[in-house]
This record gives sequence, C-alpha cells and structure tokens, in this order.
Amino acid sequence: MAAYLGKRLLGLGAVWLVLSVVSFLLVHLAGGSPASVILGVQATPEAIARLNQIYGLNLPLPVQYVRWLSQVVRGNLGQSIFLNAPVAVAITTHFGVTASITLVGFAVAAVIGFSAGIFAAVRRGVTDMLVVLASSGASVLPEFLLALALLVLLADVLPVFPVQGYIPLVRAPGAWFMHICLPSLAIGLIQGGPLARFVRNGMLQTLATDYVRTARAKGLPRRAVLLRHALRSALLPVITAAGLIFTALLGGAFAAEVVFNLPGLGRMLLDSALNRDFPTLQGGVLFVGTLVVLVNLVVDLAYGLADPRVTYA
Amino acid sequence: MHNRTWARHARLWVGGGALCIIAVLVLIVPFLVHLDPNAADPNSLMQPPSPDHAMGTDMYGRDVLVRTIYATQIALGIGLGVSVGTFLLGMPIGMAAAYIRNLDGFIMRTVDTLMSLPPVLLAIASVAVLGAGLLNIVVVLLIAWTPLTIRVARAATLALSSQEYVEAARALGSTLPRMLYRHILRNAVDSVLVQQTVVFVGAILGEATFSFIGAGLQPPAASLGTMLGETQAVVVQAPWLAAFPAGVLVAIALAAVLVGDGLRDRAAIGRGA
Repeated sequence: MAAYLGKRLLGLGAVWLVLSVVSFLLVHLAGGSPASVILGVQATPEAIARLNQIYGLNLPLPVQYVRWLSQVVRGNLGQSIFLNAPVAVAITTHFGVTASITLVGFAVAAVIGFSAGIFAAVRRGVTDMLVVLASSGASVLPEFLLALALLVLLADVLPVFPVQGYIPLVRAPGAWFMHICLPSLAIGLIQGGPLARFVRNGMLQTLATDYVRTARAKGLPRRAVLLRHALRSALLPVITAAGLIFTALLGGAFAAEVVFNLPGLGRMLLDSALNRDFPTLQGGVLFVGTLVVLVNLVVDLAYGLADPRVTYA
Repeated sequence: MHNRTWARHARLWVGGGALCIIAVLVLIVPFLVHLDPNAADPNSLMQPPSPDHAMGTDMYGRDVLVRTIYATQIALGIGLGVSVGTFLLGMPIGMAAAYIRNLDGFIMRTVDTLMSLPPVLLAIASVAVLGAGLLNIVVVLLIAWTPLTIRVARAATLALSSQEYVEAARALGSTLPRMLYRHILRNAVDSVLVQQTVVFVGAILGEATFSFIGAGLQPPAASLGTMLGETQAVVVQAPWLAAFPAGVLVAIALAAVLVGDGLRDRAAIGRGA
C-alpha cells in the first residue's frame, strides 16, 4: 500500500509540475512581450520597462519560472489586473459558487447513478433498458442546454427558483440552496448517466459471480447480498471513474455558471481571459488543475482502501 | 440471434443514415437556393414558425432555418475535422507510447495532465492566447480529445503486441514498419474508430458549449452555440429560437452515438464475442 501510494504521489507530482509549466507559459504563448500583453496596446515604453523590472520579465524563462513557482507555493499568485485584488483572494471569493454547484452536483450524480445503476442490474428487463437509454440520452446533452431548459421551465415558466445570483451558504442556507439547486441539478443529472452505467455494468458482473450465488444460497438477506457482496466489488471501476466524473462536473459547473449568471470561478476566468488579465488566468488554471490532481489523489487513496489487493508498486 | 444481429446493424444504419441525411441537406440546400444567414428582415422580428419561415425568425428578423443550416455545417465540420485530427495525432503517438518504452512515461504523464483540465477551462484560457473564434475551438478540442485517442490506441497496441500471431510475425522476421502497419494498426483501428465517434460527439457538444458561453465563435456567426446563447434572454417568449438549434444538436450527437454503439458491437462480433 505504501509503495502504491508513493508511486501515485510521484505521478501526480509530475502532473502538477507539467501543469505549473503550462500555466506559467500561458502569458508567453500569447505572443508579444508579456509586459505589453499585460499593459495593453497603449503602453508606453517606460511603463513596459518598469513592469519588466518589477516582475523580472527580462530574465531567462527558466529563471522566471522558478521565481514564479517559489511565489506560487507560498500562496502568492500575484495581483489581479482587473479585479483590484490579489489573485488568491479573487479565486477564494469566486470558488465558493463553483464548489457549491460541483459538490451538490456530485451528490445528485451519486444518488441517481447508484440507485439507477443498482436498480437496472437487479431488475433487468424494461428498467434496465430505460436506464441504459436515459444514460445514452445524458451523454448527448451538453450541460448548458439542460441548465437552459431547467432555467426556462422552473425559473421562468413556473417561478419556483431564482433566475440568477448567488447567496453564500453561511449567510442563508435556504437561499443558498435555492440559488444553486438548478445548476447543480443540471450537471448532476448529466453526470449521473455515465455513473449509472458504470454501476450497472459492475453490478452485472459481480451478480454473476459464484460468491454472490453462494451468499444467496446460504440465505443471506437480499439487501446484504446486494450491498455487501455485490456492490463492494462493483465499486472499484466506479471509484476509478469518479475522478473523470469530477472533472466533467467542474467543467459543467463553469458552463452552468454562465447560464445562471453566477459569480463563480468559470465566470471570473472567462472575464479575465477576455480582458487578458493573465495573472488571474494563470492562477485560476493552476488552481483548478491542482484541485483535479488532489481529487485524483483521493480517488487513488479510496481505491487502495476499497481493494486490499492494491499493493503493487 | 439473427434478430439481435440485425438490431446491432440497425443502430449503425439508423445513426449513419441520419448523419448522412443531415450532412447532405445542409451541404446541398445552400447551393440550390441563395441564403444569407445574417440577412435581417426588420418587418418580421421574432415570428413563430410559418410557411414563409419554417423555423420562425429571431429578434433581428433573421431566418432561424437558414441560420440552423449554416450552424449545422460548422458543427459537422468541426466534429469531422476534430475526429480526423485527433485520429491522425493520437494513433501514431499511442502506438509509439506502447512500443517505445522510453517515451511511454513522458507521453502518458502529458496525457494525464491534459486530461486533468476540463475542456471548458482550456477553452477559456485559450481565448486569452488565441482570441475567440474557430481557431481556438479547434485547437482546444484537439488538445482535449487527443489524449483519449492516445490512451485507446496505446491500450489496443499493447493488447495486440502480446498476441501470438504478432509474435509469430516477429519470429518470421517481419520488419517493424510492416508489423506496425499490417498487424497492429489494422487491428487496433477498430477500437480507435469507436473512440473517434465519442470524439465526434464531444467536439460538436464542445463547440456549442464554448460558443454558448462566449469562449468560441462570436455572434453574429451562426453556430448552434451562439444561436442558443443569443436567444437565452428571450427563450420564454420565443421558444422556437432555442428549440430548433438544440434539437439539431441533440439529433446529430444521438446519431453519432448510435454509430459508435453499432461499430462497437460490430468489432465485438468480429472478435467472436
């Protein structure tokens, strides 16, 4: 287990390093000197020289990268050009929205995915067909379209939910829930589709094994057979998929934020990209990437815990 | 059994047929009648579907049917271009990763990194670097989807290279290029093709999403995403503005999924499963 974890940590560390290089290079990919990119077309040569001096933009790229990285690991992502705040602060204030939608969306996806998947595998027949069909349907529906449909149906036509805006959880939990309910539902419903398929396929495989038949034959309650014997082994491929589903939920949350006009990370990053606010964009990309890497680490840990055989190096 | 085989092929035929019909319609109609997707008629703003405008008109008096035709051309073009592009990039890289052990670690780490970023985030970041338009959409979709093709190509190559017939070919002194082409590529192509239908769907939905949120094609360009984005504010009063582009988007994606399922089953039958 320790060797397995060590190897995974090393791999994820490498992924994170590549990610940091990519975020660092974003401003250099844009063409033109970073200072003129940041200051815009009307920048005077003096202003450019000053910025180069302050940020060390004249130094060789590797040196700049190391300097940038040493600031980043200390939590200093620089100053946002348009938001008038440190990038780290801007990210934290906007992240609450994205995190709320993604996590509630994850819960929706998990409830739908597990119940539909188990139901389909146990019942087979028409139930199974409907679940597989609905899962295919979810795979051809982009998140923003479902979000748009929910917005029209449940916020405009039947004014049950607020159309836009956000209220933090700590201020008013009820209002918070109402504001993030529809976007979370939109992304959760769509990602519940592939999850249901993974659960269904895993359950179908384990339900056909000898040990499940033995468990049934010795008269164990149906519930115990399904949940303790069948589901536990069926969980392994599902855990592997959880990382990908999380990434997809995060992307879906960005699109849903735009539909519901929520002040989340996606909205903020889109605005900083349109304004060529590179410090914010770089910090945001690195932040989201780090988040995904951490989630994958948790997935690997969970995999190791769920499957005692995972000890390979 | 006979019925089931027919049902498998039916998906391939229905999906492929639907895609062909849509493609032929949107490619031929603009040749037969001269249509301008941006021609605005101030006398018929937001008109519901009628004999004059089969899909109605939008808030500038533009014909929704004409715009949908052009938007579908773009969607199909991007879907096809990106699935061919990711195939041409991913297939050799995936095979190289499977065959050249020194490259494997580097390629797969890069693949992992690229897959750790949601494509929407890549699209947003690319706007700052490349500007918003066709170019950034295609570049982002290639970056986002090639890693998956690499994975599938690598896995298929690894599985095949340990097969007895490949070892036999090697023992018979088959050259590496001949082996890669005749014995690996031709057999690995089946599973990669199934993956490319997934890429096709992903690319079409991706274009719509990017353009919808403003990180892709920009209005007044007629794309399924911009059409849906532009009409978001008035969709309750004029549902046809969203219904037709959304319907076409889902129909194309559904048809491609059917083709993918059909190809997957055909490959399974070919392997005797």
